[in-house]
Parts: sequence; C-alpha cells; structure tokens
Amino acid sequence: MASEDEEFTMLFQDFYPSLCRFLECLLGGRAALAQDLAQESFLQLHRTAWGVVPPQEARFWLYRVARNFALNEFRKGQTRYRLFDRVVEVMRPRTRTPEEQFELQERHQLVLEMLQTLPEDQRAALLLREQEQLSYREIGEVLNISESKVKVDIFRARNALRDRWTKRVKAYGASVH
Amino acid sequence: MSCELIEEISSLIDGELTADRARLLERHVTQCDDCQKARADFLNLRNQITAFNPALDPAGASQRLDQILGTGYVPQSIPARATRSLWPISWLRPSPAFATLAVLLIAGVVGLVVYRSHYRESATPVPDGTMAKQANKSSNSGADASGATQLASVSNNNHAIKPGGKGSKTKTRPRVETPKPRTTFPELTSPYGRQVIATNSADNEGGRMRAADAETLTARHLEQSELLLRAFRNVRAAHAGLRAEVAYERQRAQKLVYQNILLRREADASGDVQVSTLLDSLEPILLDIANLPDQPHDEDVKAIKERVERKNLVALLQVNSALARANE
Repeated sequence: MASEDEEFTMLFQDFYPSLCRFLECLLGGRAALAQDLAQESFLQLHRTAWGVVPPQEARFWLYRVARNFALNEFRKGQTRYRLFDRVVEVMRPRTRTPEEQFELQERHQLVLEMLQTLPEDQRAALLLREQEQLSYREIGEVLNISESKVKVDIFRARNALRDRWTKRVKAYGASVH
Repeated sequence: MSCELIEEISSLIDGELTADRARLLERHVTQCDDCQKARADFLNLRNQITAFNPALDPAGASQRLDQILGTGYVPQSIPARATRSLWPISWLRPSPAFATLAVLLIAGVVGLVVYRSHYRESATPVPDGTMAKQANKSSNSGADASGATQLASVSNNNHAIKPGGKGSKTKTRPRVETPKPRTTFPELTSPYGRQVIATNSADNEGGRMRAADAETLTARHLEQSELLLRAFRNVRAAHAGLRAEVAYERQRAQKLVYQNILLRREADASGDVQVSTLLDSLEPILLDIANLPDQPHDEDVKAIKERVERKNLVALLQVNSALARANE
C-alpha cells in the first residue's frame, strides 16, 4: 500500500505541473482554477481508478478527466473571466527585470487570447500536441475522437492561429519571431 | 491561392507522416514558398505555445498531494458543483461528524424498533407484517390502541404527504412513500447460471419483493457485500502447499456482481450519486472475486484484499447500509 502511494506520488510530481499548464491554457489563464481542477483530477484517480487504470494509461486518464472538468466549467457559464486580470494574476513577478516581465506577460497574454479564439475541441487537440507532445492516436484516445479528426482539428487550429497572428503582427508591428 | 499541401505540412512537423511521404513532402517544401512559409509559421506558433510554462509553487503542489493522500479530504476551493460529484451533501462526507450522525441514526432506529415492539405487545396485535411496518412509520404519537386498521389508514394518508418542504430538496435519498418512476432496464442474465437478478419489475419474490423499493434492495445488497468482503478478508493465505479456498466467496461475488450492476444503474437513473459512486467502486472488486480460479494464487487474493482495504470499502458499506436501513 505504501508503495502504491509512492507510485502515486511520483506520478503526481511528474505530471501535476503539465496538467496544470494544460488546464490553464484550456481555461484561458485561470491559474487558480486550473490547479484546483488538476488536484480534483488526481483525487478522482486516487479514489476511483488507481490500481484499476494501468499505470501507462493513467496520464491519458487524467487528461480526459481534467478536460471534462474544464468542460463543466465552460458549461456553467462562469468562464466569463476578464482575461487581462487573470493573466496578470498568473504572471506574478519572478526573478526578471520589469521590462522582461512585461514583455513575457504580453506574450503570454497574446498566446492565451489567441488560443481562446479557437473552438474548445481544436484548442484541446492543439495543446495536447504542442505542449504535452502526444501523438495523434493518443490525442484521439483522450478526446474520444478519431485520428483523422485530430489531424484536421490540429491543422485548422494552426491555420486559424497563423492568420490571426499575422494580422496582429501587422496591426501592432510586433515581431512574430 | 495557397498550396494545397499545406495541410500535410501540419502532419509533417508532428512526425505523423510515413517516411516515404515525409521525404516527398520535404522535397516539395524546398521548392514551394507557400509551404515553406506555412512550416515556419507553424513552428513559430509551436514555440509560442510551448513557451507558456507558468511556474508552480512547489509547496502548494506538495500540500495538494498531501490533501489527496490524506483521509477525509474535501477540496475547499473547488466550486461546489465539482465537489458534489462525489459527496452531494456536505454533512454526508466521510468525517467524524458524519460517523456520529450515522451512529445516532442507527441508535434512534434501534430505539424506535424496541419501543414499538414493546408497545405492540401491550396493544392490539397487528394482523399483518406489512401493515405493521407502515404503522411503524406513520404513528409516532398514536397512544390509543385503536388497532391496525386505524393506524393503516393514517399511514395511507401519509402516502400523499411529502415530508419536509424546503429541506426535502437537499436530501440525497428522500424518504419517498411514492417511489419515483423507474427506468426500465433489460433483464440481466448471469453467465454464472440462472441465479439472481431480475428485471426492474422485481416481482420474482411475490408481494414482498414488489413492495420493496430500490432503497431496501440497495441496503440489503450493501449488507451482503459487506459480509462478503469481511469473509474474503478472512480468507487464509496458503501454507504447506495448500492454496486459499475461495469457492464460497466466489459464488457469493458472482451472485452480487449482477445485482450490483442493476442497482448502480438504478442509482444512476435516480440521481443518487453517493450510492452510485459506492457501487461503482465496489463493482471491480466483486468482479475480481467472482473471476478467481478455484485455488487462486496468494498474490491475487492479497491484491484484492489490499484494494478493498485501500478503498476502505468495508467501512463505507457498513455506514451506507446502516443509513439506507435508517431511511427505510
């Protein structure tokens, strides 16, 4: 039993930050809520599925449950957050100069804003690919869709973001690179 | 007009193309400006997205882990609806207060039963067991021994009355005398033989069964499961070349597993999340016991025992069956 807890602890330590990041991007920068939902996902795993779900599947199981929690949040209609405030809250000063910090905040804010313009399923697929580096097959399992839909969703998401990014760059004169 | 192969560029940078196709496309990209630009933009987007990596407070993460591994954790900051998925009513969460409440309820019910049986001895005998049960529920101050007929008529009137105005909304399993319309499920046939279960009509035991509602069945099931898990816990480990003998437990589990499925569906349909969750966590255990061979390996038995212990199932079953009995 102790070893099971140790295994669970290792999984938590390895994977909790990734799950928080995934949820935060999915929720548009609501860091506190993302951490709560990540914790709730691990709690669900520990209570109901630990020892039942094969260890190699636990990660996908967590993504699936976490995304469902996020979807519940969307459905509640309480996701009408003020993005800028949230991002400022998330990007608290760390060990950077104010200029660097400001630039980073701007960039993160931009990424979050643009991600929020995507439909939820495209956003989830793209995040699982880019941030979590899951294969199309794995993404299909997590989101319960076919590989071909994953492929199309990711392409559409990229294409849409590319257009918006280019327009924004033109509008603000900032560099994309 | 942009190149029609741009869609494949997306798969190319994800490494999702076959080697041959990837080679062909790479060659194409060197000659196609659209595709070159698309690849550069896609990769740049990737950099932007992966650069989003907010730092987490390690102490906070460690605290959250402790809360998960610790017992009786109730997430504080999760919105109520997310939490409700596990324990719909705050005072029903497993906690010392909950245990105290359960004990008080049990004591109250036992007291009432003892009082009623004592009272009945000195009053006019009740002709019918079913009627006596109804009388138990309905009469609390009926000091006049006017007999079962009058008591039964009071009881019948009570059928129309729903207990508790506002309070009844928050009850997990309201004490309904008029049962909810049930979802009809197909008959379940056990592959272990024509034993158990049952259709939703539950008329295979005659009138008594028909009168019993899902709560009674659930309470009985939880009790039976509790007994089974207790018996299983006591299965001796093998020694001196002998293996554990689990024939009885396996047979019981085979019977209970289908009952469990049916009752879990019933609980799902009626929105009883607490019972549904409990039955849900019980199901894999029952299945595992039901599928054990005649003389299982010690490791298999031990693994199941550990899971039962980790999930604290025996205690949960005990509390829930007592609560369900109290609600009858």
